[in-house]
Amino acid sequence: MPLTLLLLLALVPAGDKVKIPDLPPQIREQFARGLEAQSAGNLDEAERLFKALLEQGGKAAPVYNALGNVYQMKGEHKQALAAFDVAQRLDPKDPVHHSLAGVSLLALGRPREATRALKQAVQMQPESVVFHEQLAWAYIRLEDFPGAIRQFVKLLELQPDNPEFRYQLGHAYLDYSLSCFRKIKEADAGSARLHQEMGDQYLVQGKLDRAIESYEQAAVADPSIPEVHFLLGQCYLRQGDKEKAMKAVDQALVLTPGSPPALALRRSILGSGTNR
Amino acid sequence: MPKRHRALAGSFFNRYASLPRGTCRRCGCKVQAAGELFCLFLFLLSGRLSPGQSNPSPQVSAAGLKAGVQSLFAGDFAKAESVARQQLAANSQSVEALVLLGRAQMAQGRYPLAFSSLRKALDYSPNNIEALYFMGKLASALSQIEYQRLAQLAPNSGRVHQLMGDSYQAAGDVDKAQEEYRAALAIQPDLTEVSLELAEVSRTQGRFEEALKFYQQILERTPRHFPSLFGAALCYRALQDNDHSIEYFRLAAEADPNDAASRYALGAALMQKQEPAKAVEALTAAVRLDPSLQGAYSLLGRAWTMTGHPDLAAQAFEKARQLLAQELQSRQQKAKKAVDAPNNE
Repeated sequence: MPLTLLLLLALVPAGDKVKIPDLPPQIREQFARGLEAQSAGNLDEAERLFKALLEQGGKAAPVYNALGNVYQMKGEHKQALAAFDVAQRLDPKDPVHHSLAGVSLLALGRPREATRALKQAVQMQPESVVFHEQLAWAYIRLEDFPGAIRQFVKLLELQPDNPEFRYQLGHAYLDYSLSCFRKIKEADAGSARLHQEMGDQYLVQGKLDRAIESYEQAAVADPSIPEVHFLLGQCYLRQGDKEKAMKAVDQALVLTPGSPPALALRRSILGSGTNR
Repeated sequence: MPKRHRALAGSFFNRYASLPRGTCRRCGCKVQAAGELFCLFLFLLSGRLSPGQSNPSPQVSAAGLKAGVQSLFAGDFAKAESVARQQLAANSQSVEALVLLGRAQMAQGRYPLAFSSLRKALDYSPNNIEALYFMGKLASALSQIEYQRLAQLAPNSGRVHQLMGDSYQAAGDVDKAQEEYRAALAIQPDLTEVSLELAEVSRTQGRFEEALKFYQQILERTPRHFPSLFGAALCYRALQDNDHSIEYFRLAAEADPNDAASRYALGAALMQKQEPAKAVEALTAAVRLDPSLQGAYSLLGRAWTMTGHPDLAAQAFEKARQLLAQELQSRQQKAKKAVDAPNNE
């Protein structure tokens, strides 16, 4: 999905109109015909016209750019990249060449290089929504979620009412969250924090027994985490097991003497009905 | 992808649909959007008392950090923050102090600052479990906040229906999930994840024709969308339309040059069509990409036999036999472990 979106985005000039090169009228006309063929989806004809234009002396950055764009639309990203490279050399100040090169690099499975190219485009034109969006997708491809988050935050600064950017920012945060827990698992699959998180998930899903099981595993893996005991206390209380609940909350209070929530839970246990 | 959303299992739905926003009823601390559960996490569940797994710098006092965490538990977040800052003045790279600072900032509703503090902690120690844990929690909460903002900004948008659908799906309410997904597509027909979700649900429920419609919708926009090509191929196979099944497995294999499963499935379909020479090509590619595919070796052996290459067939069968033996051995070991486990306790 991101790549497709990028390809679509790549076709959108970054807030500018397509630049018509400063060429003799006849050549300009052929360039315009090439663009027409391209926008009509007649990619072979567009390719032929742009190539012919280059042979006739129309070696200008916009022509290489347009040719690269046609290759990109045909999925021929190596050729597209070569064309964008020439366009960049001829006109290094135009961020569009960097942006389009970035898109093709992504399609070729070279996300690091793509990110570099897209960063350049963003630096050259920081207010471009398209460039920030492309860069965000490149970061996602690299699983650099903080990088993607930065870009979506910037996009929302540029377009605060854009619901899609809001959604994508939420998604990037969620991806980042999951990647943090994956890293914990890789570092220590028996980590108390991992068991605790599992318990939290079960609790949200209303699976009390499984939540208790996970919190108990967390307490065994590391008895020094007060909130695990507190949560166990809460869960046992919901199960109606006052004795276990009291034991757990007392353990939480040993670790955090005087903790108001733990004391409140203790009062709830004392005030609740009989043990099951 | 929809499955990623499911990780927020009910949370978007539960928190958005039923929990209050604003000030937490439980402790009165600031909860800007995410509701009581988030606050509970921030306020009550905020830390372990001993420093984390990395060695604290000698300049950073373990007693100071402990006092900071105690302040968090006592609800004195400003004091906890001040303690963290004192520790950071002694050592600006103290991961424990940065985590404490992040937690204190989270508890005060200053999420961007908390994010930045925890990011710094992870920059210094990328595998620090405490920093990862609290960042995981904060990022999850921030995602909820963004989704809630989205719900306020565009309550009838396709994305909000999609999120509601994900929540129902995670809660196991498939019918309501599908309702929401269909509503999402009615508003925003280009939501690939939603079309894919509906396609997958239809396929797994045996409604192959319907699944194919959703896959085709995606493929019209994105002709090389691997999950749709593969899913469509599976549908055609289930409908016993072998020619289309072969066509789509082939397209899926082209769309993902590193995927072994599509090549294995293509080989199997070609064998069914009595085209062993073509099957050899697909199956050879499958086992090259994933040498653990025992079934693919077995099928390859049959394909080599049918094409008149008994030596190559024997090699493939031998490989299949070895893999099967390994698999059986591994299963036996697992079973033995399971049987022995209670006795060891």
